[in-house]
Amino acid sequence: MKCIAYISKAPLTKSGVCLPIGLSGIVKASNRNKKSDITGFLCYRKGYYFQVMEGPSEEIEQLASKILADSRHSDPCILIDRSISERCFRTWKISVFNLVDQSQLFKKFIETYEIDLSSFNEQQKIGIKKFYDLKNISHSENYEGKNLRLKAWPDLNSMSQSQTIIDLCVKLTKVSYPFEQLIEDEKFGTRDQVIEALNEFESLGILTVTESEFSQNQEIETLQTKEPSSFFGAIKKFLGMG
Amino acid sequence: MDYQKLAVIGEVGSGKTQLVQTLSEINPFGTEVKSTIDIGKEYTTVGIDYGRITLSDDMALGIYGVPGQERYSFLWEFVNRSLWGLLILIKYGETPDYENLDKMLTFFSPEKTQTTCIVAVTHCEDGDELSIAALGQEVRAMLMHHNVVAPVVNIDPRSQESAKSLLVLFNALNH
Repeated sequence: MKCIAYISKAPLTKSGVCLPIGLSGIVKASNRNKKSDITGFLCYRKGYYFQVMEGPSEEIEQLASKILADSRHSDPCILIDRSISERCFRTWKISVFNLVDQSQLFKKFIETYEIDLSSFNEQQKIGIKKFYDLKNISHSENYEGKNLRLKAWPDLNSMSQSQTIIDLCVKLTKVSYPFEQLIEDEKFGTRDQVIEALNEFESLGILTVTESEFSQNQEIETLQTKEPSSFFGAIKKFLGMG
Repeated sequence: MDYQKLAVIGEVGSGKTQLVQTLSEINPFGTEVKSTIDIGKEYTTVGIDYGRITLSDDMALGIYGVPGQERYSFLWEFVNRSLWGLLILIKYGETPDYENLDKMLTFFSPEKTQTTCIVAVTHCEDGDELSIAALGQEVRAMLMHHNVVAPVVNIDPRSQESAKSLLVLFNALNH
């Protein structure tokens, strides 16, 4: 049994944008891992891929040499390449594509391979740092007295697409919103449900939590007192919602 | 007359014509021609698909399906004024032309013009979950590069329910 873990660079587009181009292609190819005995995960963050593969030595080596020669990424930096007595990951996960993700899988990797991490050389340390700094981000246990805002929409493929979640995203992508008002609104579910959703947003690295300030409250009041446009009402009526 | 515009933009075969047809109350004015090369379908749009939803005597939503290729950017100019919404369609199953998407987002600059933008992935009914999520992440990376805060949703342009769910989302985001 063996584990190979590496970090590599995603390609740049002609216009210089760093994108995980071909990620869907890589995923399709990786689906073959499901059929074999290979487990682990692949994730992407700010221009870099991070992949961990565990499984029978021969299969892992074959897969790794294939992957490392793939033109859809470059500058691979091997972090782990050693025999293991048991797996850390039971399944093959590729669902961790969040751009700024405090992934549970990544944390598990850090915990399991802590000894390897402590003996990393400079290049490996620089590599892992592109992901490792997320370790310092912790969930805000308490949102009381805080303003909340979403910097981006969550991946709706991996999160509930319920109307409540969508309504919450609509609200929080527009303006900083006080936690207390989210609870008072009631349309976003119970207090526990709101906190659960906020925790999930935070773990995805898309939630900004700031101290409540008067000016931000004023902005919300302005939004709330704004009369809905007649077009908004007409569309609702057309959709059978009003 | 309160007339608003919804621009639907996307690559060949992404489902623009179908979506305009599904949403429009009128027989859409289309510019489909028989394709002379193999693009995976018999007909393709060379201009604008136009549809309309009448909301009241003096209120209507015009739906404009516009080709996503840069060579049609003169049509982008045509629709890019006072948009109620910008809908970008991405076809699942093919790697999108990201260079083109980059140009499209630069041109429309929804974050600067404060235009409500949604990205909808089509043709994903039979797709596997992980590949769809991966495509979504590729697109999200591009949106983040342009500072565009927009949802990426999966839709079926043939379905009334699916097409209308986009209007629900646009309306909520515009509110």
